[in-house]
Amino acid sequence: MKDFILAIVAAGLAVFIYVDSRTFAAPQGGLAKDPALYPQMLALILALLAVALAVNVIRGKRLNEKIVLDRQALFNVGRLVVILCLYVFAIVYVGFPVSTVLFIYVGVVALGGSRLTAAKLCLPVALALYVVFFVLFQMPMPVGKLWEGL
Amino acid sequence: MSFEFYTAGWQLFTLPVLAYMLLGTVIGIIIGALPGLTAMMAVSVLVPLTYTLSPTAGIIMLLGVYCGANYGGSISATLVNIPGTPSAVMTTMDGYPLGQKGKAGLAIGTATVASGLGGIFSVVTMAMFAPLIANIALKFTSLEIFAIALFGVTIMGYISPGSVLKGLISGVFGLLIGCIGFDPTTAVPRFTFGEQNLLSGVQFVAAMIGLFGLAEILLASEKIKDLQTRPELFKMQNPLECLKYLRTLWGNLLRSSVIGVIVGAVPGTGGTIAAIVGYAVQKKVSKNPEGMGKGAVEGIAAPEAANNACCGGALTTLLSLGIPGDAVTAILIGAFVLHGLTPGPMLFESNPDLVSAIFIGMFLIQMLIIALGLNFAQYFAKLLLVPRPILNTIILALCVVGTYGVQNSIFDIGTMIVFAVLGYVMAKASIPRAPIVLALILGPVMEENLRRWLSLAEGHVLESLAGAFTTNPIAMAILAITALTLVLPLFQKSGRLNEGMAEHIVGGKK
Repeated sequence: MKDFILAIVAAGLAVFIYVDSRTFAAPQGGLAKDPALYPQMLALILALLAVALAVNVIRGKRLNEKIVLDRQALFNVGRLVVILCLYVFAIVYVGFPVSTVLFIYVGVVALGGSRLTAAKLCLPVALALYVVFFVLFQMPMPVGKLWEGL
Repeated sequence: MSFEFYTAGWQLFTLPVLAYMLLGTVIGIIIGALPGLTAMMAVSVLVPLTYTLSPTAGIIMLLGVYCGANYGGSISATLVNIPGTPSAVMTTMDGYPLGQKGKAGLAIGTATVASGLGGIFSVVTMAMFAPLIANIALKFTSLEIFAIALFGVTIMGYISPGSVLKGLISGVFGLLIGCIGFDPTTAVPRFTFGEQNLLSGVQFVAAMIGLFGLAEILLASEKIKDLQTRPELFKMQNPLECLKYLRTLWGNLLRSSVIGVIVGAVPGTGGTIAAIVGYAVQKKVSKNPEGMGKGAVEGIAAPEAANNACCGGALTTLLSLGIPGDAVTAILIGAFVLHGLTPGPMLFESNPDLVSAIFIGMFLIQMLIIALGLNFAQYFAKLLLVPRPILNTIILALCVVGTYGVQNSIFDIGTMIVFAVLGYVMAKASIPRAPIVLALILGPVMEENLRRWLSLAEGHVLESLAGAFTTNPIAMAILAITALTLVLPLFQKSGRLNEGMAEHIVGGKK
């Protein structure tokens, strides 16, 4: 069933690419200058592969295979993605140092580490990252909108 | 190539470059030894770090990570029966049983020496053949370059573990992602949906960190309880004992190294396949095949020599043709691009000092692997005891900061997160991720050369194609093989290859 869904998604994507490519403004100059040519070729290949995959699933009688969803696993992954997104927002507003200290603490706890270990580690790890990236490798550091006026 | 060419790389003997080489090799061994962390992840996360380094220092450091990680997998394979990297999967067959017999030191020593010698053999073949292939490739026209790039993406999809069709779909999807941004010929924006940040295309480093770095952590975070378990380690004594067996292993090492180099040079293969083939061949020719799988030294030497020799093979095609031999070398292209370099035959003309430094550096890295492995393997193994929640959180922070560092863009971090979710979904659906990376790199090369050829054909496409059978026979032969590769899965009953390996590699490491 998973493969059949993939085939449908791939076929849908192929159609979208083909149709969207037709809106590209093509200057004069034949095939070589046509910006839609290459994506349309790829869309056709993708559509062919999608059909082949669907046929394989049907021929192999794999259409009724069930998709087993592990809700707890999905929750864990989703939570981590949300924490990451919050970390990115925090970097924008409060800058790298503060947000990284918070992120290390929350990340370690979310991944199953103890709160005490997380509390002990968050500052040294953030400091080490700061030294490696921004002192040693001299990358520009996001300061954070909150502190920009100060 | 002249003697001057091979000695141009002596510029690498400066303290910073040597220090970064050592650092990269150590990081590689550590990452390789930690199950769940792969060479792909390590190289992709560290690519942005090399941004501020000189091209030589940055690329040598990443090569150290690549080769070190390929070797490091054998440490956990031997000591805890979990391959640190997929390419160490065959090392568990004899490494762990030997450890159970109280000879973990001998097992690690054999793996170290075999890895180092396999790597040295591959470096020598790379230094011999890469300039020759590059010399031939310099005469290639746009049709040959297009054909080789198309072949690279197709074969990567074809050989990737699991379903061939899904591998090919993954490759085409990567090529489509490569279309995002300004059209290279007419500067018409394609698939940007009005987003200014997409006009220059999807940031490659962000995409690969997401697909291979962050996605692996997302996969590992599924089972939080598994992250809290700590393995029990064998005690390691006297790894130098392996030198006593070296006399009996020469044939094995040479054979497995040749296998590794050949497998590595085929785009889309990699160390895992090399190790499996190396082990299987050794079992066939062994005088004591019944002993293999029960702690035989030859069963450790064969896969380890093969998987490390693979590095040189993969780099040979990368440097000479610009076609990566495996997923890690595909990511390495990102490092070259980041430093304004394009791997391929022109690199030998424009940067002979760098190419030569890569040859010499690769040789030194193998020596470092032997020295570090024999002396410090037990200390690297102790890192298996570091709690995974801490390690994974640090990697997450590295992914975010590293992605930001490439062009100081928060948008890139968003791109990375999107690709991480995509990578996670792909892993759950058993869709290989490596073809996307290769396609992202080769897509623009393919399109540019296809359109250049079309431009030269001046509207007589069919006539030019027919004429190419006599004017460009190499290109037509490669295109014929590629077409066959594309058409074959349509007629296959299941479209599936090697399910067991698919579970192992695509589904993450156990």
